[in-house]
Amino acid sequence: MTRVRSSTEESVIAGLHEVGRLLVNAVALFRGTSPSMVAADGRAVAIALMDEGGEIISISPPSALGSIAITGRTLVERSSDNLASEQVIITNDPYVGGTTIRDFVLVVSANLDSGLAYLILRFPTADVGGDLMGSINPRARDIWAEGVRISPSILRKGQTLDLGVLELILFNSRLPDLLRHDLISALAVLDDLASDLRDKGPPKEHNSWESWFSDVLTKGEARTETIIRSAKTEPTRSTRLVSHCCSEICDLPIVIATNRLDGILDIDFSGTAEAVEAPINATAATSVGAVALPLLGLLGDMPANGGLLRKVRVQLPEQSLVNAVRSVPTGWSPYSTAMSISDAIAEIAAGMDLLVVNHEPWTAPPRIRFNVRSCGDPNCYFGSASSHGNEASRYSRTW
Amino acid sequence: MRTPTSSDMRPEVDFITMQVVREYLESVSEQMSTTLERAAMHPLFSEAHDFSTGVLFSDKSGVSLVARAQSIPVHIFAALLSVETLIESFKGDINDGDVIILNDPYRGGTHSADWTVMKPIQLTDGSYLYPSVRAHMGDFGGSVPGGYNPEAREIWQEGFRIPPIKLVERGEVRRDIQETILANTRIPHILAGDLMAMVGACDIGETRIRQLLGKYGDSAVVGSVSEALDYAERRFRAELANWPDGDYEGLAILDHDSAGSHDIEVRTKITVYDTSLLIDFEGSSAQTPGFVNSPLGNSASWAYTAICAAMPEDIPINSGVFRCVEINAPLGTVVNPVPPAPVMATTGRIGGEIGNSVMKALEKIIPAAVGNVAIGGSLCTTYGFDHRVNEFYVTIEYGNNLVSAGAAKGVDGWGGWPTPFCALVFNNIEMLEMQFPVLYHQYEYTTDTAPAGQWRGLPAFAMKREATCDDQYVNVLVVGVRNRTPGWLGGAAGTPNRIWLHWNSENERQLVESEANVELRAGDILASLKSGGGGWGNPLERDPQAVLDDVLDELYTLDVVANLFGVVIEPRTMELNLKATAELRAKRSSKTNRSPSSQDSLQLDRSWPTVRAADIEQAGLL
Repeated sequence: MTRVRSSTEESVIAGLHEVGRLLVNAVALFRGTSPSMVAADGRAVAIALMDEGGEIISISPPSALGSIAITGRTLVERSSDNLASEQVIITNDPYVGGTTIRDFVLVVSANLDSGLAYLILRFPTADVGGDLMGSINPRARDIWAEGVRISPSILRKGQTLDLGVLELILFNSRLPDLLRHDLISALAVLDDLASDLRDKGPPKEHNSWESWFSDVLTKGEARTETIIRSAKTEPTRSTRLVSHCCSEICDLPIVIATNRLDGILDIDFSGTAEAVEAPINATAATSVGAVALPLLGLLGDMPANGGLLRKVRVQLPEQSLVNAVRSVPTGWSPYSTAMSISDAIAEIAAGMDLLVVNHEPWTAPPRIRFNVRSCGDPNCYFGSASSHGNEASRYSRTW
Repeated sequence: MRTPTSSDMRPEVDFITMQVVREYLESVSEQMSTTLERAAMHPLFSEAHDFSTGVLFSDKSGVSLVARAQSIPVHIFAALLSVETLIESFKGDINDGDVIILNDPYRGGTHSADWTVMKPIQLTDGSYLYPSVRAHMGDFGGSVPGGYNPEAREIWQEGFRIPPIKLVERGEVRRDIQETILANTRIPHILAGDLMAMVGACDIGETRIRQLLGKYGDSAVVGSVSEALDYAERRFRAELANWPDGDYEGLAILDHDSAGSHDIEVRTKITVYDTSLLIDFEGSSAQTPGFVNSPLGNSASWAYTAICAAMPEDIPINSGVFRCVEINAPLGTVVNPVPPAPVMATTGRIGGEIGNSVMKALEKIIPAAVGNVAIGGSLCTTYGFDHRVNEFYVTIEYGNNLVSAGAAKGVDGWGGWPTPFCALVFNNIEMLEMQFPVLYHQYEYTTDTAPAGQWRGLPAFAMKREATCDDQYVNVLVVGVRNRTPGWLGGAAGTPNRIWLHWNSENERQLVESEANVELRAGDILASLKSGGGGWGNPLERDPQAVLDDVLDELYTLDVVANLFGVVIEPRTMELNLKATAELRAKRSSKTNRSPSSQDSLQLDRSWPTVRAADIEQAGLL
């Protein structure tokens, strides 16, 4: 099919590819220098460029779009004053726009000449305290049994590292050397990326970064709306059941009702089960990430950006299984709840004859299960390797 | 670990000024304590007084404790190491208006529950004064609410670790640090208030100290502090000159560590040489997998506590005393573990054994001055969801780990806490019943359980506590079963401790060592019998009139006193029969050192409670 596009849209997409390459290289640099097996996983590290409102302009890998969008916006809204003062903010707190306790996020102002922008980097850490080595506790009943939460804290002011904050983080990790290396590396990668962006300047045909940001989001929004409107059938409902053998929890419903109105895809999770004392509770970032993942096709051939999320509205009941806001554990949610959400969305989108992107968790479950005991269920992920069910093997990868 | 000596360059002050300044700093500590008690939120502060305040000093020669309020010695002595760690961490980057917080046991702490807040005040000669607070916090994350996790095998499983970090920087609160701290507790709404109360207490301390500095000048205050330390040192050395030189050994044993290790030994050898002491823990058990390892700060603290408890009371307690004491705690032993060994129980259990081990060595040097310093017992933290107010709660049940203040020469065991926890206060149980969903059916001394001695110990304490809501959980630990609270100079040892879960129900069981996260439903009763501190001296030398008073106070029955003390009381008249007493005593062996009741016969009254909470509520009385 021949597509006729405006030159502006073409240049926007071209610009996204140019910036995207820088982000891909930054991710590769971080992964390549990390001593941690966890960070070396291809899916695990994500970097994004955000505008002043925290909307995603460009991101690598695309699978992280939804989750990083929530995280980024939350942190920008909360810490804009600190970020304006050239401070680097760090957090792993699932309840401040985060995902799970193992995911550390750094945000810094990009210091672009013509437009306020932020860079955000997320990477998983091997351990951040808690009851079990690896900070994944299949029997956790609250967040504190999983690990230590670092609220958005100032890791660096200007070029001066806050050694107190750094030590506070490292003290609470069983593998402080790995984490220290990754934190220092993350700072260096973000600095280099900001420098590369400044050197590059805004994409051609745009006088400023700000105008390019605006165009990206506008075009992304328009592209998404066009594809949503073009769907041949109306969206439907879906209910998925989530279980967690280690907590003896069975068949908790995730209820998804979708609606299409004025080019917006409305996804409502009302009726979903309440949050539970088991590590399968998803935060808003995890859930939106899971929703957005199979819907990346709504952008067509346009690289992932926040324009998509302007036309996909997600409603998450507070303190439900899909929007935990306090106390409950979240560590296993990317592999259970999130996957169920993505499966359901994919099914709904396929039913609408939309292009569905293949999906998998944005990070790998622990390869080495340390001393976590199986609960005895034959499909328990923490049983012996030979007893893995298909469900668990879906998440495993060949290392 | 060595304590510093005074600087030769300090300014001279007269004795009167020194005393005024010293007492002023003690008063500052008291004011800080009062502030904290009134301003903090958790009952651990306002009811139980589980905190300590003091003023420390540092100069080029080292760190010294200058003054402290009526406090918990185990807390405040260990603060010396906190300041040393602070100085090492910040390397001079300490400014006016900074407030530093830490809790890590391996960086100047004792166990993760005890948080230290300090506000350095720099003086003109480069030295510092530190108004300081150390307090036991209700919850700080970790696997188990309250932090006492008998299944912990490493420090990370116990809770949030805070290395020395500035909570307030040049007068501005670090909101990010504060929020991170509050993110790692299950009771942020309470801990936020407690934390700010601690900072406020330090602010009060700073204000008062600056007023002192303004009145007398930095030089005079430094001189007074130095002289106060020197004075205490002179006094204690004069006391030590009366102690016979030589080596003296002591031993105390902890039943278990909840992780499979049993009969954990703390061995002490005190060497008195000239006017100095060396306390050597060589030969103590290796560090254990369970949570009873004692970091160096805690070990030194307990050793100092035993020394201070045994020395004359008119010697001021400050680092001047500690200058005379050298401590050797071999690395890798239970008294100086290598990280990441768990340590949560250490302030009471193994800590108490350290104190008693030192005291047992002192028994051979200054027998008239010794007595029990250990809690010697059980532990219970309670947490859950209070359906009355729809809030999570966590607290320590003091009702089953107090009353171990044994006898000393000239005084019977007094109620409640021994020396190392002397600032702790019995909770008012009516207040506890309002604050937490519990109902106390029994909370009292028992009869025929006080360890005998010329001066008797304290009776065992019986507690029965009913859960009035579902969703209540306890973490419980019992020690002092095999290795009981010791007696002194021939006094009897305490009775074995016991805890029962689901008392007087079909699910009743007696606790063996420890359990975590035991669920108690509404109506379930937690029961305990907690040993009192041991007796002092030969029971056959106890004043018969005192024995009669004990009987009249229902501490003993007639048969028991005849058996233990050789005292005959006429049952019809309740008068002493001195002739029969003398005869009986003449017949009896002088080695009466057993507890009044055997373990088999010691039981709680099963007729209690007769009325449960549900019945009371139905009657409209709750």
